[in-house]
Amino acid sequence: MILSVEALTKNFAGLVAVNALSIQVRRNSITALIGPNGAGKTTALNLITGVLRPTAGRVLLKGADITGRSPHSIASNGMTRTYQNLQMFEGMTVLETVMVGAHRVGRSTWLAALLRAPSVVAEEKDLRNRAMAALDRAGVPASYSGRVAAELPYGWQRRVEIARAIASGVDMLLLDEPAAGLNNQESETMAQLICELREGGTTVLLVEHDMNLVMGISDQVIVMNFGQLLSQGTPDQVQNDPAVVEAYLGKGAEAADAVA
Amino acid sequence: MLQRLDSYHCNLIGLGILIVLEIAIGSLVQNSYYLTVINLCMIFGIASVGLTVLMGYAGLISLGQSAFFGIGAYVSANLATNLNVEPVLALMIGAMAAGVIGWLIARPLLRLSDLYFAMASLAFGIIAYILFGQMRGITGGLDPGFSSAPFSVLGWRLGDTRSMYWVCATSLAIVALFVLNLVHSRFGRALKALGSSEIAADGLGISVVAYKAMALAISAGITGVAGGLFAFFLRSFNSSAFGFNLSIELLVMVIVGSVRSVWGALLGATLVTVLPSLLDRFEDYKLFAYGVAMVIIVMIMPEGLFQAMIEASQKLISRRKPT
Ligand SMILES: Nc1ncnc2c1ncn2[C@@H]1O[C@H](COP(=O)(O)OP(=O)(O)OP(=O)(O)O)[C@@H](O)[C@H]1O
Ligand SMILES: [Mg+2]
Repeated sequence: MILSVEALTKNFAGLVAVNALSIQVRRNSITALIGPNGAGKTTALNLITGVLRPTAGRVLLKGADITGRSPHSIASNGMTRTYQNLQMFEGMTVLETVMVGAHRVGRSTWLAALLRAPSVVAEEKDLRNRAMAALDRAGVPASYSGRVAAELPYGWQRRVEIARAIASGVDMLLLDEPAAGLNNQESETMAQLICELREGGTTVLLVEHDMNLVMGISDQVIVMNFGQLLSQGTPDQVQNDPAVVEAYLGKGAEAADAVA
Repeated sequence: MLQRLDSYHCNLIGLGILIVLEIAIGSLVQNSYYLTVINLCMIFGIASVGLTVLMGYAGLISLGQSAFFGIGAYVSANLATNLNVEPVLALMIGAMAAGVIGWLIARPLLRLSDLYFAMASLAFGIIAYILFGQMRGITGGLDPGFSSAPFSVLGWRLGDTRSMYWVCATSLAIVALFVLNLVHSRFGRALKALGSSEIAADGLGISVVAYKAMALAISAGITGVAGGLFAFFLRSFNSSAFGFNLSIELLVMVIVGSVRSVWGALLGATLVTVLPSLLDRFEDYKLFAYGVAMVIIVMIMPEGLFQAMIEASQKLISRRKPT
């Protein structure tokens, strides 16, 4: 297991957003975390990546206990993520944005940067190449690299965020609603991209509402409701679980159709 | 592919233009009053470039830059005057002293939110101002103030206004180059990133607090260089130069110019330094007119004067060449 989450719990002033959640993620797999709005999916990702401190429970990444550590220290253990609300760097070009992703690969100090030492020039070139390779993997055309990232259409921004995460060279990637706001065709290429990530050796844990995408590509599906684990298994097992159908029925017929 | 205007290479061209301008002004301007004003523009220009690193990149507002300016001034002037340290070296040690103090106060201050950071830096500036006034053994306080040895390089006296012009011009070019190097590096991108989204920067392995602390230290160090030059240029000054007014003026320079550009900071510094003397004939209304001018600039050019000029010239060019 590359990632194990044990009895993770988060209380927000009386509201239990995540309640004793346990998850196991196998290396080189795609795991989807689904559930109705407000189920606690984003909160779970925030707890796993160190954005929030859990009230109780543990998170193990490659066997190391990372519970309560800061996001930048967790990133150095090889895990990073994308965000449900896009977190673009204002005014930066696509290339610069993805080069920030490659930050942890670099070693140069601020003093060397001040003097623009030869090692810094070489490192810049290396970071640039890494960023271009990550853009290529994420399917962003090289011709976009000079454009301001935050001015691109929504679907491309989602891909730039993924490229930024890829550039950091991590082997565990958490994606929070990568297909939100995308049309059908864009969702399909996003699904393809996520499969390619797995083939490239990256383990993916994704939160997503697009059931076609989730059921089409996941090795494991985990369903949350009211902060708790409702069901888990292969896409087939989960789709046939009466508890899941019921949870989604409560949200209206359309969602039930999506699951069934 | 079209080179972006804020690329490293375009900025190096900008630096080249600055150096040509400096040489032209240095050879053409004879009037020593004008040279004095220009020297002050360059000194405050350096200080506002320092603040740009902090505000434009790391997104932190400091209302205590006067403290670093003062530390730079007193440390370098004391070393050169009382301990016979080579002035160039004294200037560097003064900058380092300001930088180290910036780094030290950053640790406790950065625990606060950005707004409280600004307020705490204000308190720091005021405390430093009081100390400058009280530690008369070192600073001379308000009265009699401090009398500094002249600037010199290897025994070569460079104390007069014209020589100090070249000293300030050289310092400004070096500082501008260093800052351009810095902001167009992994370090600078990290600052820009955390200034825009702390969560995303943190998630990519950037230690937000460590980087902000370093940004404050570098900003303080650069402001310290400006303070040292100020001391060597004026030679006789007192602690009233390092009060809250200075912090506010630096802030206005950076905002008016455009927060995220070295050139904007220099433009802002020039405007804020020169405008009051242009408004001299209004006497009683000087401060009022000054305030109104600043408000108008900020209102019609929210991105700053420099950005507005770039955009206007781009529009002009594209109108000439309709394609
Ligand atoms: N910082 C916070 N403080 C207080 N309550 C919070 C906080 N963050 C989330 N919550 C609450 O916790 C619950 C779970 O929210 P969360 O964002 O994790 O849901 P989600 O499953 O990601 O939903 P969605 O599908 O809409 O993104 C919600 O009731 C939400 O209002
Ligand atoms: Mg969510």
